[in-house]
Amino acid sequence: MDRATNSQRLKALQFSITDRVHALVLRTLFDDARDPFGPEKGFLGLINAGTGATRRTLYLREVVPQESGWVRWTGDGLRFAAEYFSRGLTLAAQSTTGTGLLIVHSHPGGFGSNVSPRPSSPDLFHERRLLCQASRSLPEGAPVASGIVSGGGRWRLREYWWPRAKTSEQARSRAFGPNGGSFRDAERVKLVGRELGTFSGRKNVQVAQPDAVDSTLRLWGTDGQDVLNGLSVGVAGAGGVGGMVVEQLSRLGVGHVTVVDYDTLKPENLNRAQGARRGDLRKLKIAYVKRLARQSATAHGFEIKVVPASVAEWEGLRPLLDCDVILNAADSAFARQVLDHAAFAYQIPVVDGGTVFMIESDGRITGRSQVSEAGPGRPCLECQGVYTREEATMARESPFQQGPNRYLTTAGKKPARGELPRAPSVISHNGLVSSLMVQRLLRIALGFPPSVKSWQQRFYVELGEIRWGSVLDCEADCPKRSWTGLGDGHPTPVGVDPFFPLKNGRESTSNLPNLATPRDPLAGSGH
Amino acid sequence: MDEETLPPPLKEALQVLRKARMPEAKVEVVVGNFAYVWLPDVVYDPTKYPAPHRRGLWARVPIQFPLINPHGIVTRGQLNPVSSHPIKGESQDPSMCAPVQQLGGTHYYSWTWSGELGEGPKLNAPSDILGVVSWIERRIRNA
Repeated sequence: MDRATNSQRLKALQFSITDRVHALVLRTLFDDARDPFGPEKGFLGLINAGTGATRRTLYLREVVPQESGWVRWTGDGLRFAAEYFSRGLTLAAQSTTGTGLLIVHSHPGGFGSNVSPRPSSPDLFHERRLLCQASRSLPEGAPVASGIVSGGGRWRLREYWWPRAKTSEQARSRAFGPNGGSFRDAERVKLVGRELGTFSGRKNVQVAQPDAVDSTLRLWGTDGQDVLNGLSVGVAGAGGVGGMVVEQLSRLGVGHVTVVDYDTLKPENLNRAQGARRGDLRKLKIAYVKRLARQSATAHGFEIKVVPASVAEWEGLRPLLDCDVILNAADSAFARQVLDHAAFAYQIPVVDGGTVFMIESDGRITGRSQVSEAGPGRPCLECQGVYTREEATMARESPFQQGPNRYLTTAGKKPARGELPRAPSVISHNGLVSSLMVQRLLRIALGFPPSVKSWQQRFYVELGEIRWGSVLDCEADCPKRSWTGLGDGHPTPVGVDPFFPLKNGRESTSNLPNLATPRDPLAGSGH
Repeated sequence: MDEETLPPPLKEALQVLRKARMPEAKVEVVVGNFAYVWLPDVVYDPTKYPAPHRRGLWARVPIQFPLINPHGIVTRGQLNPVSSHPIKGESQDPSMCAPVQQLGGTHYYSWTWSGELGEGPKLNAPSDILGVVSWIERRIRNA
């Protein structure tokens, strides 16, 4: 049996599960709390895969219901009935394209154990045999994997691949049998809910300058600092808000930051582009943001990746899918909708922030600075009113078709042709929004401060007050929750960002006939 | 236009449309985020429009359909109701007709899903493409 070899399979593998499904798993495997050392139990699960730029993630979406006796301990191993496999394969076939099968069993005992379970030789023998068969029954590209869960809730997960036999001779050969194929073990397990848990099996309490984070170590200790060090945070947009967010993340000790933006720094940005110099003008914003982050980072081995792309396109979205949390500072309904979908399909909490100023007909300035969260355990951005579908539609049009920017209402004045609509921005409001966004990240990652509230916060410009929003859940007919964990099986609405060519000198893609549909760079790769 | 390159939900929507309503419907071209979908058999209310009462037009359907709303139509010739009142929403921007100009597209109406007639039907599934055709017919009737 070989380890995975092709380029897709060389991506780091992680496993992601929502706290709701994890609770169901624990009930299924360890329902008898009186007998933690009782016999092993098991279940089948429906899984999907999601592919980032460097990381592949498997999502456990559902536990396949089982009848009494379908999974039983025989004394020399756990047996899964053929009827149970049949049900699992049927449900996978009826589900979204790309749905595969996970076979899980428990390692009883050790409820307080913090150690990931290790497979025994019989475990490995049985899982290869069962999953090879399942792989043949599923459509090509559907994932198959095995999992073990300890009494302490720790996971071990391994994904397998088998080549497809094209001839009957191949089908009989060893290379296509249980001992053929390849596998990869998950390096990280992510538990996603209102808070985030990550288990990498390794500790790296490494701080470049311990004195520099002394004040925060007093609050969340080395364990908390270790969590931040191991965290990968994506930032969409490197403007007035995004730039401040990146600097706060690097100073706090976040270990990995990915920033996506294609815009260049202009003179009119200097009154809010914290840390930018005149020498940075006409260069990509991500360039000075990267420099600042490196200068201010406190995490040992701090990494920052900058991507000159739009998050509304695959090229910009894929790197963000490698992240544990995404902070969106991109002021676009297109980007917001794409990230709203990704938050559920790829199980990545998204924190969105922005400011709306409105100049009323009598000259008064009103507006709001707003922070909202989306993803598993939270309402979507659309149901919270952060964007509407119609705004997301119009944001896909050429800027000159879009009309006035919704973040600036000045008696319906439309931008002249050749002039991009530009929203007003004030550095103090950017500072407020960026701090609230980073505060949300600390709550998600560390539970700091321990507030149960994860819904919208608004600072009303004209009142000078911050209030909590009232939307605690999605509307009854909102389908986004059903997309949780579909990964690449969900048609995330990426497309062509119409602002990108205008701001970045990229060849215009608007109004040209016979333009190909924007292609996912992974299309045809089998994932 | 090779429809195989379209996202699966839009491909499915086109299949539904051909099977249920217009076998000749097709994507003429994709420009940016929108496909110009040829609808060969759109009903024009005979009490409000002169003959012919079944005509073709192009609907701008997003490639992310049904997650995004359609926006605008391109017609062969101006919409001229018998009452001869001007139809709202006609855009003078010739670039919006350019992708189908050689096929006879001459007039663009930038009708939005939440326009003057109120919100269009909620779009959730590929089969909702049939509601798009009905909405366009209603929009033409009440324009």
